[in-house]
Amino acid sequence: MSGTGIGSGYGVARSMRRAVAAALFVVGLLVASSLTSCAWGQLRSEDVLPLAERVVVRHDAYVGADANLPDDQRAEALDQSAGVLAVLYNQVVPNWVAFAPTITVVADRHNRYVVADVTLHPDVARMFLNSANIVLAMVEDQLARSAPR
Amino acid sequence: MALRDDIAASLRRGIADLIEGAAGDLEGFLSEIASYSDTVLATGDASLIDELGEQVEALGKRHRIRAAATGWQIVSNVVMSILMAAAGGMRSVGGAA
Repeated sequence: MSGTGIGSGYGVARSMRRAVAAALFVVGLLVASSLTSCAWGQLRSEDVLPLAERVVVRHDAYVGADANLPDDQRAEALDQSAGVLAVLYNQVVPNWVAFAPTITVVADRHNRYVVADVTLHPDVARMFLNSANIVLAMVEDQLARSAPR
Repeated sequence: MALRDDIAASLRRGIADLIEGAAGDLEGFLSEIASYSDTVLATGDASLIDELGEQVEALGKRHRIRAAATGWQIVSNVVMSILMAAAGGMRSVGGAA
């Protein structure tokens, strides 16, 4: 009879070890999944920087040359574009949700100036618009992934 | 000049190949690029041609990032299904015991 008791105790210990191992396995999977999801499918600053830089430089040139823009609005516009570059230069993977409004404002303003610029060849103007739109589309992808499901 | 023509030709070929394999809004962006690439290349302006190349490169990166995100989602769903099945199995074994 006592043998049955020892056997039962051994069985309980084995079950507990299995439960602990299963729990550790699950925790490991969760940690691994959070780490890999950061690396996979994650937009990095360097992915958008070449095009974003061109959009910002053009934006600043237009803002600087716009004689109709009040000084305070010009300063604000240049602050926004400097903020965009600061994030892209200094953060490997920006918080895209927080960053999206600023880059969207700058890209939209860039596009308005490009559309209004009658000196540009229409095809060149379309290329400039496409640059900003590609950057925005990349950021929007990240926002769509961040949205609660 | 010959080198620039070679680059222009390979860029055109690359864009055409990309459009063939693309889908959805990626195809839209690439078609847009194809529609102005000849004009931009004809300008001979290095900065404009560089920007054209950067657009194609950015779209390629976007395509890879999206594919990776989708791939990760599939892997994650499979792992979750296995975990749920394992949890269900353990519960039924526990219930039987």
